[in-house]
Amino acid sequence: MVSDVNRRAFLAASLSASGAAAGLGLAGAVTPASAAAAAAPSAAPGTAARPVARIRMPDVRVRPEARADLTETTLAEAAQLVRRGRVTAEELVTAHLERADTFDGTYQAFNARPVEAALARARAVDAGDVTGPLAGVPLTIKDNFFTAGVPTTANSTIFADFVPTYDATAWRRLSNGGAVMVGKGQMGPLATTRATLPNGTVTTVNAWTPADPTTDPGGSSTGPATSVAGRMACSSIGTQTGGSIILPANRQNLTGLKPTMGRISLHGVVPLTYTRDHVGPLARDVLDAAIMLQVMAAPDPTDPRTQGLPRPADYITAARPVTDRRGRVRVRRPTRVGVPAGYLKSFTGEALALQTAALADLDAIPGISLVDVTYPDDWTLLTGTFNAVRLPERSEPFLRQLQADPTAFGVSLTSWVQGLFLSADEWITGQRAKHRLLRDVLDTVMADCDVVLQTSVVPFDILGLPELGFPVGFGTSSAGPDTLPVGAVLGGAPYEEERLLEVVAAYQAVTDWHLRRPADPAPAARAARRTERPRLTADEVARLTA
Amino acid sequence: MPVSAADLTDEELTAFVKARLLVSGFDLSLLPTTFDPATGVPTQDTLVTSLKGFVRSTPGAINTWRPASGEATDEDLYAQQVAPPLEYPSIVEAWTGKVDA
Repeated sequence: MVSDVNRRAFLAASLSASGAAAGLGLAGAVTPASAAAAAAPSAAPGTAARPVARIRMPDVRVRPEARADLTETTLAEAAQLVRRGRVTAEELVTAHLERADTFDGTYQAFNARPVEAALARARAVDAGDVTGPLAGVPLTIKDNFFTAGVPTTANSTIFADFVPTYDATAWRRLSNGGAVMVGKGQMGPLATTRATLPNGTVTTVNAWTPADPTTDPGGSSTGPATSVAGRMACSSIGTQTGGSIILPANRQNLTGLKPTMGRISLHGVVPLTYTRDHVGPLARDVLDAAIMLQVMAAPDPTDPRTQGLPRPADYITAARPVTDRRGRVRVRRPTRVGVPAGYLKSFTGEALALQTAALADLDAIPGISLVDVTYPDDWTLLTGTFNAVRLPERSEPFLRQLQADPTAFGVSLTSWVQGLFLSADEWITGQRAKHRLLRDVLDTVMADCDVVLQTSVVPFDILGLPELGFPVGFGTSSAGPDTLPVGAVLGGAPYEEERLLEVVAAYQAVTDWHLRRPADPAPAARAARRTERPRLTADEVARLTA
Repeated sequence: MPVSAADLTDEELTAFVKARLLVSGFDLSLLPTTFDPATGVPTQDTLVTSLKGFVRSTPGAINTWRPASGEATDEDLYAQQVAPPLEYPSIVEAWTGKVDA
């Protein structure tokens, strides 16, 4: 919530028990030691998050279908199965690797698969040499994250031979938690559009329509999304500058979380737009997204954007549904969900029916109330044309490459050059517009609500505010009825990720969309996997770019 | 009547685009003159045409905007006092103590 007073200072002074508990940033009971630790410095900006190894994982009921097929497991289920010795990490990882062996020729979700390294790490988990909350859990890491000793290409010719000497901080924290990287996720070249080759030829398909590469899988974290939807990894991380976590999550029936700017370090991520790049999970459900966030969220000495911020909250608990005394699912705190004027008018046909039903489902959850909100007058200008203000930020870090060999940018070149055509005063005007837009959002749009449904991912990308995308049903695709995932997007106030998690945890407790998985690619689709795939032109990429 | 990029002739706009590329050290001749399927990179003409469209539509839409000050007179002068630039709005919101812990 936004406040006119410094509530953190007030909480620190009062040392309230509830404030201390809220500041833990961990699941589990409040022990005297942890309560004391939370009470004293918890409210001070810049306080370090709890070490990864001490994050307490939730106990969950492992579904029968997950026991029967390890590639069906959520991250929480998989971690629990390994933790309790029900399966070995090698069995868990092998199941996912074998599925990728069979189907990734069709999906093309990975651009590198370090199979031997993944198996070796899984065996190290089983030997007790690698431990942590994510021990043995197979993950996909988008290929714009530095991975020490493993090529990191950002799917661009520019990085074709680049092998980093260190891990991106976000991946390092997951790795320190015991996770196993089963692949580098294919992506739009330099994180621009849906995943294509650098020359624009489509690679990765939507896991729900593997025989139809024209179905938009969302971009640019396409590979991570398809790898999780296609059950070749338990979870994944991507990046978002213009919707690239939320949109692939929505289009592939996943739960995607773009946290507030600074909540997860960007150090070791190939930059697209410094002020708008975000790291976040593309996960099977809201609990998995919360676990991933819990592990990655921390101040990082190498990224000043992460410092001096409120301590990470207890995301894992926020993502656990609760019930009232009558056993009905309720939201943890009374929460007002803002519905922008004309929200439903932005949808048609099946999507309109599904979004209408989702609103009704949300409204029926005890503790949730829907409230109308209105955009300010120049909303369209500040979130539309002003979106171009991001472009100089991609030109500047790549100017040497633009000068040396612009052909290396392939189909994505145009927007990198467009950035040279906004002057410094226009860039400054854009930063002033951000200030104005922030006040518009926090003081007007969100003045009467705690979270707000989004009609576009762009405004909260511009402002660095958190967003959570989640499934709300299925429409019709070329593969038939009920095969085209439809999602909704909730936005929140700065560093209020737990509020988003609470709402979606309640929603997913009363719906089952997130439990549905796509059918395996049919033999015909597999046979046709090398057939001609569509190709994006440079002009199309310039128009669609994140 | 204010002037704008719309007043540029096509030849002037082409010259501006090519001059700006040179100022930035961008060598247009490194791009192909016909479509290259191996790289998918835009041709010289495609890029220049796209950039001309960008220059016509975008900078002017940005540089004509100013935050409203709410003052009835001397609006332009008072507008200088509002909405100083924020590169990271959400982070500033936290650093200025407006976010709950």
